[in-house]
Amino acid sequence: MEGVENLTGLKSSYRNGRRPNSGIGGPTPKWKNTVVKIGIVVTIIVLFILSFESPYVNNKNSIKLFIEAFGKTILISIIAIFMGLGLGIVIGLGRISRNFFIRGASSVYVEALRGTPLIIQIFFIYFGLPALGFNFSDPLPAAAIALGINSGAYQAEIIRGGIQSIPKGQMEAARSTGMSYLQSMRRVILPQGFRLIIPPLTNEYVTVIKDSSLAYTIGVVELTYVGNKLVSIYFDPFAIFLFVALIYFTLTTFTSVIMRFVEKRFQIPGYMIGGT
Amino acid sequence: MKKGKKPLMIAVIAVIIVVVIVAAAVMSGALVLGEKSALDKIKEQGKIIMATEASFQPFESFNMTTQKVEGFDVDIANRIVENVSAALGVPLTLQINDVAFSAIPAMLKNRQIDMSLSGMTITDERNKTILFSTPYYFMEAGLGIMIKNGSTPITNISQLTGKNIVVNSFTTSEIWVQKNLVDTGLVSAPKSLPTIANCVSDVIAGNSDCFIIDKPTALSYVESTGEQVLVTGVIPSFEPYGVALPKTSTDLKTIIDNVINGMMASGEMHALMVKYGLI
Repeated sequence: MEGVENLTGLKSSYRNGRRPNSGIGGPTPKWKNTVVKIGIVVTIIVLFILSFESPYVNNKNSIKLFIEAFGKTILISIIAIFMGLGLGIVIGLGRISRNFFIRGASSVYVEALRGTPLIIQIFFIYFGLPALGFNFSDPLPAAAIALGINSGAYQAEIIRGGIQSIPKGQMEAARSTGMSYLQSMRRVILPQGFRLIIPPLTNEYVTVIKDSSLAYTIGVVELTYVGNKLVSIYFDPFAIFLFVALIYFTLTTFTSVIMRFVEKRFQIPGYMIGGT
Repeated sequence: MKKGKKPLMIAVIAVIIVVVIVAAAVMSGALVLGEKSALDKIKEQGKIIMATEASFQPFESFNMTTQKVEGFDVDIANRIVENVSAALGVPLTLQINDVAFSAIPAMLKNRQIDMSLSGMTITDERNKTILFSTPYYFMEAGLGIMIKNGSTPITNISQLTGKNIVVNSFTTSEIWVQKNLVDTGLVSAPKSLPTIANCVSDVIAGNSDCFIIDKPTALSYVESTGEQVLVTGVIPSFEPYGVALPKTSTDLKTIIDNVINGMMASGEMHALMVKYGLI
């Protein structure tokens, strides 16, 4: 609300130019939001304690396995997310290229990887590629690469969407100041697009973290693998799977919180927030 | 963008580029095996990679206290590693990959592993794609019929008619059920799950009436599940177990055969069988 002279009498949340979370029927009061957040944290802690009651989860051998597995899950997720981001930028730009062949190749990549199941892609890369000479002695890189390539296709579409939603006038103005296509992309379009794509990207990153669980099928000792292994030894699926689910939930929530922070930092107050 | 964002953007892009390059390097650095022989590959990597499904007591199971796979097959594998190490003149370690039994044939074919001791029976079918060592164990205890504790006992083959059977994929039990029960029309096609633990869970959950698997293993699960399952019947069978190798690993097979024959001649094999309650 820049430019308004007399701001007294307005709600504090409007005065500094930001609008709080809006629901249908108006913004939610801050204290309600805080209560809900605390409630969620308390529920998670209670569930953790509940699953920890099980002697199979709460012994030092299981904990040791879980800690190693946790590291592997994070490693796979991080590699896949960043690989996907790099690929996503390249393929996303390729999808709207004026060159017929680049556009075609990018489209084939996206359609192929979105149109086939991720688990098949993982199997293909780990079990199928050796026929062509690419042999993975360790399944972890195979899983990370499969997940990264897959995520690249989804992130490419998200980035393309972000670029295409920038008003055409921006590109025209940039070109008319003398910048080349690539320069305008880098200096005008992409920085603006970046802000817009953060929510869908958050969604994709959460998906990547959850999909990393599929790596257990090719023998990567990550969270789901350890969960399965413990259940097969102790036969207490309730406590063990609950515990594993809670760890994944913590990871994904943590990611969402970080992305929300990034979103806030790049926000321009009053510009394109709140559904306008 | 707001002022001060530019360094952040640059840092982010730089990290992305670095990770993509590293990933590409990892992928291109993946072993391209070509025509290397089994022993040369082992010598280069400094270890023997073995795959097994560690849910097949007493042959292989995961010991939570030592956090290692242990069992009859593991002891034999260690002996094999010692001998290969002596033959090649280099120190070698044993790496055990604990995977689903059904994944092992593919890993052997791709030479992602060097050998597999997983209670695998030597069959004509398997001989087409896998190279087996000379048999190291003869399973004569038969196939056990495992049921959920509390449901009607199934004590012999005739009582299997019309039941829902679950089997572990690619095992000889699966083949036996197919040949003797499905093809003769006594039961409909059995459910086939990737690991033994999945099958046991299936029986406990009540999704299947019984699970058919080698008797010693079946009995071990009676104990480890706290008697949620029982073994009520036995199907006679004779299964020679062999060490599974990639088709091209003939040099490795020679050494392994010598190890097995040596262990049998010296009485060491018998001692191991006593140790694991197989006799």
